[in-house]
Amino acid sequence: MSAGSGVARAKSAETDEEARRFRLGLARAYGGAVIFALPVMMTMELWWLGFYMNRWRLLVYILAVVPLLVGLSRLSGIRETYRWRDDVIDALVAISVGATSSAAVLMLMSIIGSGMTTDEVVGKIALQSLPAAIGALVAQSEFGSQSEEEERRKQESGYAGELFLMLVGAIYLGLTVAPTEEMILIAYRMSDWHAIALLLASLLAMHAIVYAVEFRGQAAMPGDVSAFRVFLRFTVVGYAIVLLASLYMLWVFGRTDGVSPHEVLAAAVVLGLPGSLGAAAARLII
Amino acid sequence: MGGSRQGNEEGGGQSGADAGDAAAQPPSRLEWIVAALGLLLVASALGLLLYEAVTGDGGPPDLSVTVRDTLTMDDHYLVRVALRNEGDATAAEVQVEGELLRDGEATETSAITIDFVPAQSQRQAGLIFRLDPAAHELRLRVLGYSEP
Repeated sequence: MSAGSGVARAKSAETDEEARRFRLGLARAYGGAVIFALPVMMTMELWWLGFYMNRWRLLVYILAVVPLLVGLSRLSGIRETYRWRDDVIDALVAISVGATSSAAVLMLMSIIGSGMTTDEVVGKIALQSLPAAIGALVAQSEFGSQSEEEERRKQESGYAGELFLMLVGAIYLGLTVAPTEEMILIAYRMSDWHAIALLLASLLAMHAIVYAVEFRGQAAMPGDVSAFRVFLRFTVVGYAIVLLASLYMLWVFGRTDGVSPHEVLAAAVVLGLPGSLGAAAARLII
Repeated sequence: MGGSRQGNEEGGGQSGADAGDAAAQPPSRLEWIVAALGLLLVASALGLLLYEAVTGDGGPPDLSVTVRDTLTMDDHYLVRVALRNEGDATAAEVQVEGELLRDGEATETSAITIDFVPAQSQRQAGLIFRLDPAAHELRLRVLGYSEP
């Protein structure tokens, strides 16, 4: 922090510094939004969903992401936040960054333009702006340096914080493939034994990454009891979260309507592969 | 809290703010409940897949089409149909044809192709006719599919 002599000078220097940091954070946010959301914006299923997605489902999609953004802002975010109110504001800033960057890119690529109904344009922008908003908030840790306060808050967030980070990681990686046709094609083509193998492989990969990330700095997996406990509390619970997040994404993008639970589960396991890798590596990404 | 650190001789764990702290603390009651729920969910998923793997007959798609309703639109008639696949395999590019018959002769034919009909699932579609289906006999057929 700046150390000016004289209270007035120090104060104005502080606000200048804060404004500068916010602008820097905003620039990083735009960068993160575009970098993360660009593959999503170039996915045709999301353009189609823009005009055929059930509007109630779109509303759920938008509303459900807000708490996610608020929580992310607490642990990462565009700037340091001290009260929950600031996190809500940050989440809204992220949404506006997401919406404006999506609109700009979609217009640039002629995915939205004149001759389309307002409904279609709004739908397309709304769909793309959410991954962009997540990208905006994650940008801080990708490009910037996290403040000590935020690092400390991450460490102290405890078990719930760990689970939340896993959820964000699962959605972060899963969102890029969830709406695509390739994803359900894989699910429809593979046999049940493939699905079982995929589920077990996801669990194994998650456990390996969680162990490597969580216990770096410690010599060995400390004792059998702890190993089992780590598996249960982080890997299994983490994978359960990944499955739930996958089911949610499948539902939102209309991949569950009229489909048998068995096929939906297969699709969730397929989507759970990038999801579980994202969840396990969340601490590294976010 | 000290239990998980006993195996550490190399002093690599000096970073006190390491995330290992979250796992090192004894889990609260709530954590056990969460862990139990998680285990239940994952075990059920695995169980369901195993059950299907063992009992599924692995047979071909079993497709059938039925009429949901018939609507009169501005300049045409819309017959909404439901396509059901009772089999164990997904059918792709499913072709459905509807014929309007009068005295055994087909007076109008309409067809659609549906991308996927997964196993044990159903899909909805619509056939468009110029003539009134109510004044004819409507015959629906599934013509074929491909393996995805």
